[in-house]
Amino acid sequence: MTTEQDFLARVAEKLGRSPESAPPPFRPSEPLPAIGPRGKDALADRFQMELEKINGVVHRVNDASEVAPTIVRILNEAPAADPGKSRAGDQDGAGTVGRTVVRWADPLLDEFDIDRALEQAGWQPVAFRQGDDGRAFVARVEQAHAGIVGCDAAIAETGTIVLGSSPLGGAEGNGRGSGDARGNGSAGGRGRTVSLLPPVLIALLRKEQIVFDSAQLFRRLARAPMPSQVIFKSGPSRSSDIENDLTIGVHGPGALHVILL
Amino acid sequence: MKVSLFITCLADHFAPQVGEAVYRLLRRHGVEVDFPEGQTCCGQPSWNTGHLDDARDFARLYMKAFAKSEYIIQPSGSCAGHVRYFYPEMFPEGSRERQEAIAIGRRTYEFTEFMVRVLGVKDVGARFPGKAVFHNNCHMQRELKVQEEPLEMLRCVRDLELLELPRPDLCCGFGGAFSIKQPEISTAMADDKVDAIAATGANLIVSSDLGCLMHQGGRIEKRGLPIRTLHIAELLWEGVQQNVG
Amino acid sequence: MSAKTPFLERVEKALADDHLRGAVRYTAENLYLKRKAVMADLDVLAEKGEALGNFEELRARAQEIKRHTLAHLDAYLKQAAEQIRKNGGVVHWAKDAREANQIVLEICKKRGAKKLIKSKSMVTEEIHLNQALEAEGMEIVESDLGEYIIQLARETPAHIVIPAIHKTRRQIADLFGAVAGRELATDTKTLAGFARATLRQKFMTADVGVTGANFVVAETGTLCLVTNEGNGRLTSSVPPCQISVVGMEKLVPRLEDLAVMLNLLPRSATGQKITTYFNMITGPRRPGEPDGPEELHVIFLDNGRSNILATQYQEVLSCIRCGACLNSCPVYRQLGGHAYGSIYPGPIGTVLTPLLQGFDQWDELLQACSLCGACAENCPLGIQLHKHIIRLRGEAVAQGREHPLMRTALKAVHFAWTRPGVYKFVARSAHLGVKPFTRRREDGSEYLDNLPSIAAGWTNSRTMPAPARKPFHQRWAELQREEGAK
Repeated sequence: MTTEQDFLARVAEKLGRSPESAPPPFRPSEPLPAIGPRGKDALADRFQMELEKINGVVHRVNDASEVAPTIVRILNEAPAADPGKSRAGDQDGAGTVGRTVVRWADPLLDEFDIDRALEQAGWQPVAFRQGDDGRAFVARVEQAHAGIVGCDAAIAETGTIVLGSSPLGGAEGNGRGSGDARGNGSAGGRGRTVSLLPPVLIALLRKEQIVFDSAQLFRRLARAPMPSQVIFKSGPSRSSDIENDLTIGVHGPGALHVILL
Repeated sequence: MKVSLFITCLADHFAPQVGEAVYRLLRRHGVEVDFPEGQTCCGQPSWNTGHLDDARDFARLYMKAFAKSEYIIQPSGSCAGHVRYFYPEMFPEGSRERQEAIAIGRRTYEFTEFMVRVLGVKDVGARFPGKAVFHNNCHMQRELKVQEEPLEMLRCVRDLELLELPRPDLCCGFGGAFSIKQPEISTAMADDKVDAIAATGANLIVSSDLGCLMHQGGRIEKRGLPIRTLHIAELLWEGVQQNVG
Repeated sequence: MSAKTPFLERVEKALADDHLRGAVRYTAENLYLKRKAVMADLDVLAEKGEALGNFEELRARAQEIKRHTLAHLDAYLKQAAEQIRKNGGVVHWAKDAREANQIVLEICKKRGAKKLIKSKSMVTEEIHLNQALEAEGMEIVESDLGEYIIQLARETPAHIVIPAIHKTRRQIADLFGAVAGRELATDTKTLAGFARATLRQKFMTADVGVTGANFVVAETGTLCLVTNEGNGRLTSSVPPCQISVVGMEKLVPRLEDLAVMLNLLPRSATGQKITTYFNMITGPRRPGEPDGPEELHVIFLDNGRSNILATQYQEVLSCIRCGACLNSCPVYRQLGGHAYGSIYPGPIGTVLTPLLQGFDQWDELLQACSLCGACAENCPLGIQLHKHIIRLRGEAVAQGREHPLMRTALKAVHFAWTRPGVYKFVARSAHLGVKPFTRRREDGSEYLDNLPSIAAGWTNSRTMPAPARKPFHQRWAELQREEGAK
């Protein structure tokens, strides 16, 4: 097998020099411009408009107390027969989905008393706790009707929510629920699959978490260690692989609801 | 004003009337025209087929023949594009020949480009009844970036209905030697183009490239379609005569 | 002409398949128009100060990023590798396809892995990973809907972004029906639903997930996957081990550079402002996290890429595989991807394939181009693909790779036409030389038909104008006399 040394030596040789130890800093001839509106409301409006264009649903709530009832309402109204709901082992997509709802156990969701509201409405909330078996958790996530997560940030320009496998660091100021500045927030109670496997995804977003464009977010990410996974999710899963015909909910969730607080 | 005419090998061999039309239109607008000796072909066939050294010889020939010309007018967007866009590439950076190539490219114009941009003439006073589409060739639209000029001239032609062609950017499949080396693909592309043109209801294809016109016209003739092909200079000159007559 | 080469046979087959041509034309046109519309929107947004730049500006930025990265590629690779290791990943180096496949196999053997699931990746097509794994008795399942379709059909992708561009819903229903063991309806919902359910099972039981990477950020060792369906995210979230095969040119220096790329890639590929998923992976699952792979392996692949460095073709390595050149190519539009016979079809394939694999099998691809330049115009990195095709033709001709009759004809033209006296003589006598092939129309005008030898390629499907009895340069003298007489 080729060693790192040989591989890099060949590249360097082709480039006509001896291997460099570290790359020179890259400074683009012009820095990226600051763009878009700054105001919280303008960003929220733009985010909503863009997300709705790509089949996402935005629920505006004004008070923390409205979050849990909104979640229950979304769950109760979620469409029943949809290819997005078909489960492994149920290849017609017509089987019943359990009453399980998985959610992050995370400070982003702590204050809304979600579990109690879910239980009262007949849903069974599940979250990962330290010490639980990961494999078993993923199996439960796979059987769940919906996943509930908190957003680490959002991008108005494209209607994108940003989810880390652990809290993102690097926030300017001391934004609530955005992890500490070094990005070492507890990873424990989240889980990548919560936002991925269930047919319905519900994400809680606070207005002040919205930035206009991705460059702002990348600069923030660069200020702290990266979580093991960060996703930008823009609308529900989609494919146009069959005769260029758009279909929603191929591998990921077929429905994306963002509760905007 | 004095200009030099580069007739192009295609027009010289197959469509001398196009050269005559260009000449007469230029004269009509008070431009003096000369026809430098020693001109043959821009060398595009050699370049495009990978005979790069041969193509350089043609470039040198052109640069020599037109060394003293202030404006060089061609009835072909493709050949003019080749001169302006590719000649500089043929010579090493910093060389004298590269400088010459860049300079001669700047002095080289496609016919409608010169009429509109340099002379400021859009209306030559032509009348030409018909339903036409304009086919812009690839080098002309992408390398010379000449798109609007021929359309502006055609819009001024009385009784000519200029129809919108969908996907005007799409190549018709001529491509020089490509049309002979890959005749099946080339013909499939021609059919697409001709079908799109027929669907507009046009009875006339106008272009500033004889290669594209030969290719489309030749296909049209084999298919027996009622569509005529005409070089833009020829249309304008015929139209001037019709209007005067 | 002599016997048909395999390439020409494929071309013939594609051109005879109306079905395929209709499907390819429809989708390519659709993608082309969507891209055009979204780029026009981008220009408007940039004007309003609501985008990082218009297309031209972003393209210039992207070029600058890639130019810098490629110029220091060894150092960026080293930095990326160090970061990946720091994040807990394992880095491997493969000089060719065989080594890359071997590395994947060894990782699987060590883990006792038998079942793999793969997200959409062109580089694993390039190294024929599926065949290598299947030969060792492993199961590897494509999870991108389009890739899954062509895997069931035992084909290769016909497009780098839309692999099943050529398949109709009827054909797809038949392929899926064979897996289901019953007939399936042909509506998109049923077909996509079936694929979701079937592949979900595969995901849940896979031992290893295989991905490529659209970008790798050197400063953090972050792998980026751009998808719409979520297959990339599933592959990197559910199986206990992730292996990413990455072409060594995929690096960008900094996270911030992704902003430029992310503005260009989805717009160029599918006409979207952004894809549904942009997934950044920085190391395996961390302690306390419930899911994600326990092991993350990154295989950097050369496979001929280093031969392109520091040559006139270097910018070809800045390609981000968006497929815009395919969608705008008038030849691809006629043929679809399979006629090319290479993994990467269309303009980028025409240039990249001979560069990676040499001329022996691939010099003919260079002829599948009319040099219209639409590819370069639409390329988000501004790669001058048509210029590279000319350069490569130059190399091929220099090696004598050319049809002998074509060579003779072009050399004769060069000899005659670089001598103005000879040129004139030939031009004046041309109409005599073609007399046997000259036909007369009803209106008395003349044309050529049934030309011999290589010229038959033209006249089989098109008539040809007859050479003028008096070429223009002869007419010129008359025009001058006329002028003088005035």
